[in-house]
Amino acid sequence: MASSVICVSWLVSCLIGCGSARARHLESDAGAPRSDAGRRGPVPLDPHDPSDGGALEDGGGAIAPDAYGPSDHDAAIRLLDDAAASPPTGCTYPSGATGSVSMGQVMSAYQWSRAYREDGTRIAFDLDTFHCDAAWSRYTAVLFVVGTGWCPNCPDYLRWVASLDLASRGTLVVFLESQNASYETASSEDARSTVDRTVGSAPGLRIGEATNAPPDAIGSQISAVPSGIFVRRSDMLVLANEFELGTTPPWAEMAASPDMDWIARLRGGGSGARCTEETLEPNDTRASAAPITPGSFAGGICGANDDYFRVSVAGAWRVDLAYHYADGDLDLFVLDASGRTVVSSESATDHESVSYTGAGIVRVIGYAGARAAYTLSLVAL
Amino acid sequence: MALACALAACGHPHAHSSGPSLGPVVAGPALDGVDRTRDPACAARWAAGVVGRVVDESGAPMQGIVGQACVLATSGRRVCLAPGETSATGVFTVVVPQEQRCAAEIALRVFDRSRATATVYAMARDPDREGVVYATRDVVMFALDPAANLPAAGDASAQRTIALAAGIELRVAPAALDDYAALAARMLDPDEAALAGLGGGETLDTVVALGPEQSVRGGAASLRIPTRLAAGSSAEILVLGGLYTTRADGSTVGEGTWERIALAQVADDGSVSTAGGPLSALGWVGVRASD
Repeated sequence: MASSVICVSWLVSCLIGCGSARARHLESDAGAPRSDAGRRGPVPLDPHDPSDGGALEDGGGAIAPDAYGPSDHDAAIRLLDDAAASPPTGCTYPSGATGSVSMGQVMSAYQWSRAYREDGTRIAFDLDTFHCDAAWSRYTAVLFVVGTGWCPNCPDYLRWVASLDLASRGTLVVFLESQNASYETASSEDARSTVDRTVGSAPGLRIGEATNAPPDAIGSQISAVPSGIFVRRSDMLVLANEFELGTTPPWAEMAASPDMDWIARLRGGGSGARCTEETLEPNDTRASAAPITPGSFAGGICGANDDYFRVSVAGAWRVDLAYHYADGDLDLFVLDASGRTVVSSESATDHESVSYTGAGIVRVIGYAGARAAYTLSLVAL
Repeated sequence: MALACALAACGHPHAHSSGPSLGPVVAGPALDGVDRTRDPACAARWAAGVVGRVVDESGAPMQGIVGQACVLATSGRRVCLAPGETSATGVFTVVVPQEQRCAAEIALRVFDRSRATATVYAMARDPDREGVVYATRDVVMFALDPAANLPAAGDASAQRTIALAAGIELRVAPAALDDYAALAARMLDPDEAALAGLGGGETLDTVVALGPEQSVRGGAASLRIPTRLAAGSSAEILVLGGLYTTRADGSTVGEGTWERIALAQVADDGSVSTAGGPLSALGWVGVRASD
């Protein structure tokens, strides 16, 4: 079930680690990481585990509101003792997850049985709850900072991320340790030790990938650390994967505006304008062309379908299409009543324009599958 | 006499200058099938793979040692790559991800999980050969000697002086360390050829390896190191950038590079002390006469 992306990632990992410390994860990762289809299974968490060095929140003491996470006791206990909990009614984790953390993929509903807050208290953390539970609604995104205990340059990176104060911009920071200093899959205690030593009490969860199911499911896909993975909470889409990009994305800017189309911007230097279909949808065929009158409106070619608009202006008129070519190359056509193209504009610029007289159908397409937001204006001449 | 002997590493059970001839280093199969085609846009070194061979002091290959490479890409991004492990021939191979191959700098870390030897850091400077960077020379893992006198941990917050090997003394509280019980050290001959790659070949008068490699919380430790420098003269004390070495401001010392942490005056007995500068980590420490 693992995607080809996973296979490629594993190929890289195997090439690097055949016979190595990392290679031993191959077996445990051979099965696909949990997808949303698996929902939440029992979490092997014993909050009374004496081996845990952190303070437990279920001891009956008051839980102080903190910078992130549930603000009320019940919610905290639900997260802590989560095994039998069900997701809130009416919320479904986005479908389509494959286990890959590549950009544009839905992040799988990973769950970690042990996570430490900056104050040392321990919770269970899972992305299903993060996505669905209102207790996490103060966050619009989560940034996973993937590091290892054997990476000499990771501390500087962690300190830099901590200095961005992403929590105040609505992004939860998860310091995710893949391996400890002995090149073993890191426990959350390893993560807490490493992170606390580096950034003190900076906000963010400290999690070791040993507590993921399967272990190291994310870290095994990242063969260069440190690397950040930015996931939008509303659709759990991976907007940025630093390892994949080879450059460091503008985390603070992303935290401030997670709804932008960061994938296009980071990959191709696009505008970052989020592609949203016009409200006149469905208008994907000539027969379903949406009638328009002079004026302007926003739309988008955001999928595989073209957009059609019916113009009934009696005299001459002009249609202008404004878009960002860097996001995708859009083209503009006018069809007559028989469906024949009578005029077109197919430039490689940020603007297309066509003029015609009498009734006609305006067609907007994405060249070779391109996608982009646009503004369409109809002017009666 | 003990000092001179220690400096030359003589009498050490593993000390041999000539070992078996191992022939040229051959990259492991990990690089087979990897497209190493150079990106013509890369004006710096093109590193698709890093290969090194790890041997013990007798020159015999060591299996199961972790070889790690950290790359400063020309994009300015500094990352550490998933490590390789040495095979029976002592060779480890690391594949460099495509995005990091245009490299300005590559540093190596070689780590023995048994922690019986000193973790080695070195800069890889050999020219590319078909996209592969080879370690400058075989990486020698130096066995560490256990502490000559390790006081019981007792009050872990209390500072105490620990007699390490070859007259080296460490003053520290056990609470400042993650692994107090296994403290070990080794004084090495700075002319030892195997040390030439360490830190880019700085000229040093004394080289000390401490282990297990670990951080010293709060920098609350000091070392006293015997030297052959003249009493009353000035000496620079340097540390080799590694996993835990930080400066007083918390920033990280560059991996595999020597950096001065203190200027000391050589005592009447020829020793120098790091008391003048924070010792953030137990790793490699060097001493040289100050001009």
